[in-house]
Amino acid sequence: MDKENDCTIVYDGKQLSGRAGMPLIDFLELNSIDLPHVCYHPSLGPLETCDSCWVEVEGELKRGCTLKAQEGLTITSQNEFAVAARHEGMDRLLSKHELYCTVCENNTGDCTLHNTMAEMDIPIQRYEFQRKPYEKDTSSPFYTYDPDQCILCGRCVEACQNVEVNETLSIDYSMENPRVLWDGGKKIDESSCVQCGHCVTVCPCNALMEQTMQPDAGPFTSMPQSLKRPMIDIIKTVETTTGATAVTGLSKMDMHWRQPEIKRTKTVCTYCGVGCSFEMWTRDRHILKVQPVVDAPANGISTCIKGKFAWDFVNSEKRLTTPLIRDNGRFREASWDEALDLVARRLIEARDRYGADSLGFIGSSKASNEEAYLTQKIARLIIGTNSVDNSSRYCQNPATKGLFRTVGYGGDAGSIEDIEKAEVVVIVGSNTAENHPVIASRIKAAQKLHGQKVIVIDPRKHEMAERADLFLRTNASTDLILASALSRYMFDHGYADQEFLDKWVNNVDEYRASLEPFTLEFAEQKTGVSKQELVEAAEMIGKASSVCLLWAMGITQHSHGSDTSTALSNLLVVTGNYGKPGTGGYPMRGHNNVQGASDFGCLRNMYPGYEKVSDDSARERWAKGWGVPKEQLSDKVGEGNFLMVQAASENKLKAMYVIGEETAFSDADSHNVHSAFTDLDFLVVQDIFLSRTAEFADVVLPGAPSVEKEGTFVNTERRIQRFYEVLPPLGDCRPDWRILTDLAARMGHDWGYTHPSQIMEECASISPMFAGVTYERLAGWKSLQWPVNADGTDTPLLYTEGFPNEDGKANLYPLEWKEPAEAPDAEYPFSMDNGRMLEHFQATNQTGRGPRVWYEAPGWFVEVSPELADEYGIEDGTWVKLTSRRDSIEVRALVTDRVSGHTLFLPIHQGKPGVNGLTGEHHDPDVDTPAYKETAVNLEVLPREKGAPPLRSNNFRFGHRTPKKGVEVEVKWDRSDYELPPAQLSNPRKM
Amino acid sequence: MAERISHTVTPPNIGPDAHEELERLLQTLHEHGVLRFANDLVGANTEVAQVLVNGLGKPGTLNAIQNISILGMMLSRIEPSDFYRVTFALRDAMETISQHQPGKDGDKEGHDAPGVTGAYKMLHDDQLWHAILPIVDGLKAFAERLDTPVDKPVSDYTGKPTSGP
Repeated sequence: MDKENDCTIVYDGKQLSGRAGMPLIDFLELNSIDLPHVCYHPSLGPLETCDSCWVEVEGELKRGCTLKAQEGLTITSQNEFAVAARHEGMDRLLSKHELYCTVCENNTGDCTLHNTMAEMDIPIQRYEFQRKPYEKDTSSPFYTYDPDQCILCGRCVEACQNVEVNETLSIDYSMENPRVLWDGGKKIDESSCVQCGHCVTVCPCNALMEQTMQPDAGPFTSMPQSLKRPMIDIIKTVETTTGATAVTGLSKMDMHWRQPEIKRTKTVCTYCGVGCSFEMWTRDRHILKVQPVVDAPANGISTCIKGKFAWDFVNSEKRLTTPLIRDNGRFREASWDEALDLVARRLIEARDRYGADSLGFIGSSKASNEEAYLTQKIARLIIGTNSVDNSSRYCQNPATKGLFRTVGYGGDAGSIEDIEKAEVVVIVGSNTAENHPVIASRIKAAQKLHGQKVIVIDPRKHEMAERADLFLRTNASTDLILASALSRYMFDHGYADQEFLDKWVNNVDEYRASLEPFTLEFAEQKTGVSKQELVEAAEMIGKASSVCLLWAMGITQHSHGSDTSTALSNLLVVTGNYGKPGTGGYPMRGHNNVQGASDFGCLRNMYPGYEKVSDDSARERWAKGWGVPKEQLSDKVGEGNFLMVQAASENKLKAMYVIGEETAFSDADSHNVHSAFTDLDFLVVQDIFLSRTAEFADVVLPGAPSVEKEGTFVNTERRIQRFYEVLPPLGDCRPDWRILTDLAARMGHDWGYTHPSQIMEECASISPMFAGVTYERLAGWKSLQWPVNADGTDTPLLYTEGFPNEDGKANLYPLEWKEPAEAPDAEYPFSMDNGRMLEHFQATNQTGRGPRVWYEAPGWFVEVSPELADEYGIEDGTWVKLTSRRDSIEVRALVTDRVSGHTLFLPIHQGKPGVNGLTGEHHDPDVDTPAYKETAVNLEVLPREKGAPPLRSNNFRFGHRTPKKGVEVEVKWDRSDYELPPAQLSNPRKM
Repeated sequence: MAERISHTVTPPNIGPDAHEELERLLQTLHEHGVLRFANDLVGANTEVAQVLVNGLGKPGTLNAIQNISILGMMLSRIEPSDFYRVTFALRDAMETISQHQPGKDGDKEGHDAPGVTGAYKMLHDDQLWHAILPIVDGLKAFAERLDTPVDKPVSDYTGKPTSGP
């Protein structure tokens, strides 16, 4: 018996083979047997609420969902008793759910209740459906809840409580008329619901349904309620005579005839770096819904508000659909031929006149790997410059630097699964719950269900800090001290992993000596964290058998972000937390493909696969792969984004090509950026909207969003995933890989790519890191985590066999603490932290393109601590002026204990010019990443009438969660009127 | 010097317009042979209509139409549960009648005419008695079914009680 089939069960007299321990329902499904079930979901486990999966085992009725395959298990499903029990279970469900499937939006083929009822061939329901004393809740812009359709199975509750772990939904089965409750009884939009959509995704019927499915998901579903209701009533009357079979036949036909017009396409989310993949259901250009699936490797059934619902931008009327050319101070629409000819001519002219390094390319961290590859290929091969970069310069390059210095690969050490497995997770400078919500959910679930310990180190008390077992509220810019003090503690108290250090690590003594200044006393003094708390954190980390450490912009966007990232990785090396399951360093990548844009060569110093441009052998291989002599490729490290803009302002850079990046908004000190763009001789912007950056362009080329093309992305765990074309490109816009291919041809390099798979094939043939990557190996839900060997084996966990340095060892990297480049002083006494909100993404170019997401967080504001509010007389809505050394902005205040003392927090999404009107050009000298988080400001209360509170009172941040252990089915069983099927109930609607 | 330009893009068409939808409908109708049939039907409309009218105008068809109308009128005045009871009583009667098997040759026990009084001759007509017996059995079944109370036809039909959909 092989590993996959190591047990045999007997089911209705038939011998079936499969994996021992597998839930029976899944086991049977693999053997093409469908045991009726409604509440069971493979991602949720047995909830035992629907009572429709009864089978007989050793003469006793058992719920099938609770059984697991084991050798010799003998099950009977077809005896009279078991069949009667299953039918009674279904009858109880149908007493709570009105069947009108042919006019129901959810009858699209995946309605579990409809399909199970039809499969069971229910002739008529035993119990009459009766309305519940509740109205349908339509308060959320994203989904609705209809108590009249709710079967109280609890899938939504389980998903909310134990998968997403937002702990908003519950069912109280002891109520007179039980229903799903938000925060114990609020409307959806007045609760702590973060609109992640888990509940909607798992709902087995139409009780919870996407607003975008309503009302015209089916040919007969959009009729007005005034017509629909009497029709339903007529059918119901007839049904009392004819039975349900004929009506079910009609609804089955309806389900089938909907299929040709519904298209289901796998895609990968285009927001953060978690890399959620899911099916997108469309009818023509209308996006019916995003449907996550169990097989999605990074996220399973999980999404956040953006991945599930924030796709209105795709069909926005503001989309760019035709090229634009600057002409006498305005843009005029142009043909592709004219626009591409102009771009090709001007770029070549600039190169020939001013030299290759007078041009700069910014590749997109939102576009595909193939598009990143072509961007750097044009820059390096056609133009001859290494001045090509991507937005990782603004975020995670310092983290990559820290990893290169210590362990060797510029990516997460393991997988999201390793983070789940870790005994202790340390989160530093990462608002994970809002910026990487699905990874946060995994951590919250591991903590809640498996006792994982969570330490959060952050100046801001965000959700993960509130949930942490230990929250260390640090002073800004002091994390290097804290990490180094912990490393010293490990050595001093026997927690250093000596065996690991001896075998795998260089520079141990030198590093240990460098820790001399980092005493607990020094750390306490600088970080603001008490010695006792530091010891507590050190003991938790030191004693743990596995530790994962996550960090993000709170670490990297500082003037010494590379050093702090190095210090964090040092700590992991000291404690032996690399190369084992459940360990490692995890810089959280912020854009969907910021990892891939770097991996595939949009870096000023690296070819795809992190091969240095200055490495002669690498240069030779790439030149050979591209069919040119190596001398044609420059070995001079180019400029990154930040320095390109500076060079433009100094008139050294003459032309730029910016793809899908909002540099005019996201680069620090935006006034200087705007001035630099104005000074350029020629600027090309390729984007899906006329962005703030595009307003400065000479030529604007309309690219296509990910859902309108094919390609691959790399997520934060180095996972390469394929996405497919959901919709055709809108209007005359084009996939970016096609634009770049056409442009290259006009510059004398006709590469002839007709599909992105050919681009990946070329890259894989040259770059050892991607040697085994093919589109076939990425088909469907399959994925590969780099490095990928030629035979297709990939690397979910790095460093299991050593480190990619010359001697195969990791390096401990000695550091000294340096003061931040900008800190609060007498003139600018406040530290202005800044970052993302859950609802929005970056410059809101996507999330701001429809009223629905915008409604959730419409205004800009600054978070002010209660202490500061008291001191200055600030209330919610008070207008304040923030002034930095660069500029001033006027915003409303929000008083919250998420910030403390003299630290403020400003969301990065809104405003004109936005947060970067205030930030400065001081940056990390190792990687030139702007120190966005080191912005000192002054605050004045404006003599202006107080505005409305900037966040509405119904924002999820003000909700009150209702944590439960899950679906409390025991309460239902304990009711005096509950009896086990097949006994009949007097009123099954009550439970 | 490239000053910032504020520009409003031309709104694109989102989704198919009526013409594109019509084109798709035409293609689907064509692929499934509906257009061919519709063409044939419309092309022969006079002849088809003539056949239809000729057929409809025959006394038998007119009777059928009128009788169906009467049935409709009658059906609309009968409670479904009553109708169910009667029709299924008839069904049971029919079934019983159809299951009647004449006795084997020589086996006349129980099939003999009773013949005491009244239509003495008739009651002694064994052949007639053989003919009537299944009808009597059918009447018994009919009466038995009529006497059985029916709450919900569908429950009686499927054997599964229901308090309504």
